[in-house]
Amino acid sequence: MSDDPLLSVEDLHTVFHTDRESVHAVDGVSFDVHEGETVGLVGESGSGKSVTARSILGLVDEPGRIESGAIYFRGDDLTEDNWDAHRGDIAIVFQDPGGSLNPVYTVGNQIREALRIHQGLRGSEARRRAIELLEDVGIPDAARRVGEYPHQLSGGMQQRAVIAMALACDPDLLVCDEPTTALDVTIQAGILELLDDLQRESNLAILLITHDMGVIEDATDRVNVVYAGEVVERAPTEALFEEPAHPYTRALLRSIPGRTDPDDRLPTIEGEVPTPVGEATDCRFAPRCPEAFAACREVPPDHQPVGDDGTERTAACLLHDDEYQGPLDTGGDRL
Amino acid sequence: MRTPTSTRSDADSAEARERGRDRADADPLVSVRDLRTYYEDGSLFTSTPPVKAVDGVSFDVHEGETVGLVGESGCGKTTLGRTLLGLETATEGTVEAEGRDVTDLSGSERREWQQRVGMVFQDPEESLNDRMTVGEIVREPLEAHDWPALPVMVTDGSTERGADATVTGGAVTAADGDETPDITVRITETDHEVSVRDALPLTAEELVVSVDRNGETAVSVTVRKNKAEIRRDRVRRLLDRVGLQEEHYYRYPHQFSGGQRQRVGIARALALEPDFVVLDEPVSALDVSVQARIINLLDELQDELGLSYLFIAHDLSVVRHIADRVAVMYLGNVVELGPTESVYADPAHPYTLSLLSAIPGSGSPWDGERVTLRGTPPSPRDPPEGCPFATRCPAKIRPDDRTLPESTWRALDELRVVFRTRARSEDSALDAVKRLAGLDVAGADLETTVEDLLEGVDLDDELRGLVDEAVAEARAGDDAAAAAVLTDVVGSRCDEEHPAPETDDEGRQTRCLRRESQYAGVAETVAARQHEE
Repeated sequence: MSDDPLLSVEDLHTVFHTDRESVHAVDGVSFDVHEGETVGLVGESGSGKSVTARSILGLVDEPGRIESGAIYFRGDDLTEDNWDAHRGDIAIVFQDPGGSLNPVYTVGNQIREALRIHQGLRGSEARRRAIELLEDVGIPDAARRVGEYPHQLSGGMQQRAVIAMALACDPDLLVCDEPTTALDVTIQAGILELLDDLQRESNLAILLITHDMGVIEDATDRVNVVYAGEVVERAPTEALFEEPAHPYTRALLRSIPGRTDPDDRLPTIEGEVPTPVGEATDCRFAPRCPEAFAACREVPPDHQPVGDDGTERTAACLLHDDEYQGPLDTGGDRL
Repeated sequence: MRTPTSTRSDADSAEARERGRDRADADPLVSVRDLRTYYEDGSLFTSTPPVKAVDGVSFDVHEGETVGLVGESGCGKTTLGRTLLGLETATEGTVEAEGRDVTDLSGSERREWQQRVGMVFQDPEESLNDRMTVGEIVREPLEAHDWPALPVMVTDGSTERGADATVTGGAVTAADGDETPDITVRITETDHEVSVRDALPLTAEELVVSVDRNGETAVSVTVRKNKAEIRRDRVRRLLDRVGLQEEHYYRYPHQFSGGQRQRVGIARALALEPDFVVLDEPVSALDVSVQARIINLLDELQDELGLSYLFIAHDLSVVRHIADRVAVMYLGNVVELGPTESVYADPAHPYTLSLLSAIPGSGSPWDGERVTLRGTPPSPRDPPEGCPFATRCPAKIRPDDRTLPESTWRALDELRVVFRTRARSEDSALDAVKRLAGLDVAGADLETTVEDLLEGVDLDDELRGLVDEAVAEARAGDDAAAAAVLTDVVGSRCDEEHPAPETDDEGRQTRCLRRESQYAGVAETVAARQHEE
């Protein structure tokens, strides 16, 4: 891992303006991705994780707009209209493989198209490379499959083909937005293994976006937990699972079934994820937080270092803010 | 089996759990035997074989228990649930409830059965009509079944069951047989007492009952609350019970969050007081924090109302939390069935083991190396002749007449799967013409694939000859014959015999030849093969 991050998202604000209100879908998100590592963005629906992915790719549609902040890729700020300069360096894999493939072209055609645009390969050379890519992503009998249409492939094979297409532009960063959510668990395991192999072979950086804590635990090196448009906790993956520092992370992990005695009720988080309308004026999790105290409803929390990991490990929570140490005693049940 | 009270104390639910432990001895609520549901194409001109969605499934559901049904998409679990409800027609086999086969009911009996079972669907967004208010959605089944029937039972204190009496009244019916009465009229020497089942939003004060004792006892009942009002109050109670508010009655589904919509779906499923509920992926579309609340709600409702659940899900952690017993389905078959904890702790079928090992993160109970299944499930139109899992099984029994390194077995197995897959895929028109003309159908891609798969694999002359023979068949366009040649090499009992379900002392049922004592166990075999590779 080199010291300079490949991708550095700094205080990103992506806002959707409608007649009635401004939804701050991404509200001051910052994180880094280095070469050869997998960084996770985990959160529930409405947390802004997918909008973050689309912002990085320059795919935010009207009425959404990147309002402020920067997205540095190899030092260039993409938000200053540098996407075209790095087109092909960043590729994205979406949740639904069927939606990413054109049903009227063969899988091979679509990969060759990408190879032509990004690497200038044509003819038999492109065909050979397409077969290689399909083999790389673990599609058996690739030489024949290259001539098949998307509907002739199973869901798992389709997602592999989509990954092959993404790899055709020889990216440095692969953004995967819920890449296994539509797939069965055995197929999911295969795709995660594939991503891991690809990374080891080519030092690929992966930004993995998911709602599934199990996937995060298996596949990422570092993780950012997002809630209502903000990163609330960032940590090395192992440390996060060992000792989650933010009350939201703790509550989320506890509510996953399979970790609680089946005879007991599952611990829950009351209330709903709020829509982040307007600027944050308090902690957005405070209304649902079992450990919230008065100040939580008045001050938006900053990221504070947690534990001994230095800047590697932070949580945006007043419980970790020295200024508000006192209320720790009234913090209620802590893990 | 309607519960006479709408709420139960803790003591009652403890009793329910106690009963749960003894229930294996009691008669099951629903008993499924060798059930098959096939989808025919129904065209006169084609003779495609039917899709065998459910292909010989047997299991019981006992009172108050949750049976989890897990398996990957396309394994037939949803079709199985729908067949139990009578929403799909069973091709063969029986589903017995209260001594009758519910797959074979006439119109009115089928309606009666459908009143006794509820169904909750995966996607509340799609299963709720967006043009109806929540109140109308939950009320709909009540209206469709003209609920409540208000059966009246007359007793005279001397007998447990009904006394001889005629019952008249516009809204009510006379209770017959062992039907649970909504209204009970107890006639004493001089007077009569009226009581109403607690679950009904109706009180004795809202009834006018007169008894004529001249000659045969005649009881006349007038209900001063009309059925529409009773239904509306029932809907209000249901919405309250699933955690929605009074004001939600007049709102539309799109005004709700996913979790709230699923609560509406549950309220509707419970409207007719079922004792058996089929839940088809009820929490799959929900965020984890919302999911936890719905699971808790389902748990509470089960304790309170004594419900039995068939809980269909692909999320194995959810099933582990909620199910007492779990059935694992693959390609239309239940391959393993048993108490949830023992199945998760010690899976006996290689497919169960593969599924458990694939659970991501620390949710997996399997601490060994992850098992990666090769290929995809075979088509349910054309299932393998032997064990349905044989084409992908990581613990498949190997023929005893040959000893080969693990990598060679694997390569030959995979090559065979390639031929099988090709044999099953549709021929292009061009291929068909080439075949007729006796030309090379397979083309150059075959060479590439074979070279790829066999790269670095040592084959003796005999095996090399057999592989060449298979390739020659494939080149002539007969992929099935090519697969058959390789089956002679790598094929085993697993390709020929469909193992019968075997039940052990614990009540665990497994369909795998490795249960036989001469074979090494599943986990042991998988670990050894992983190690060798």
